[in-house]
Amino acid sequence: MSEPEIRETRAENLRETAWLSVAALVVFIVLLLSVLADVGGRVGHMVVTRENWLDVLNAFLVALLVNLPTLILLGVLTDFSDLFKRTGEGEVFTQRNLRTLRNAGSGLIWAAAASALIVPNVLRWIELKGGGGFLWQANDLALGVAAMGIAILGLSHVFAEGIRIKTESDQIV
Amino acid sequence: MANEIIVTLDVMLARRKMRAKDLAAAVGITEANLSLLKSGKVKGVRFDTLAKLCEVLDCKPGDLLDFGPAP
Repeated sequence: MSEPEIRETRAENLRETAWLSVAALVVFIVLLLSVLADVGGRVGHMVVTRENWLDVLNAFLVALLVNLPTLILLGVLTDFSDLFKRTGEGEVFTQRNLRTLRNAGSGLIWAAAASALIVPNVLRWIELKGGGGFLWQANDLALGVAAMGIAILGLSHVFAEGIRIKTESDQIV
Repeated sequence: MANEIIVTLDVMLARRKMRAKDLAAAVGITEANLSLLKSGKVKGVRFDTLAKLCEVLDCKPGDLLDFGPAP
């Protein structure tokens, strides 16, 4: 079997992963709309004037901060979408896919950290104007997302081994 | 010096007066891979690639591979 034929067969076998790319994009759009609706709900009713523009800006930044975990998840979904698009085209064990997988894994961990640590502590800090102790709001969902991120980072090590085996296999003509 | 597998594909190509580009196309591998094979810079040859090479060049595997000290 020639190389283009091998790639085409691989693409054929992994064609359904291209659908996962579309699914990731759909979830991306739903989450994006959810973030926009939330930010709009928090800031949309405010009328910007010369006197209150700083308050509006503050409210907007706080709204973004509250949605930080979801914004990070949007990046993770983009990574998954790109990854599945490429695998659907027959590009599987490549350094680019490994980087994307690692980005997605660390993104999930960052999203969980943002949800459990960063957002509650920064919000409290803003509320108390600099004071306050340390908050740890790890709910089941945040822990689950962090666990998935760790699992994906673990899988990326397996993926790296797959790339090494493929490189070796490519040296056999 | 240790003995190793020596690829003598270039000799057979010259005997058959065939261009590497045409051989690569007939066998279904890239010119780059054929070049690596000719220079012995590959880790192995698949049986089906070897079979196609033999078929196109009308020869036996022993005509393409030798065993001896590195040139």
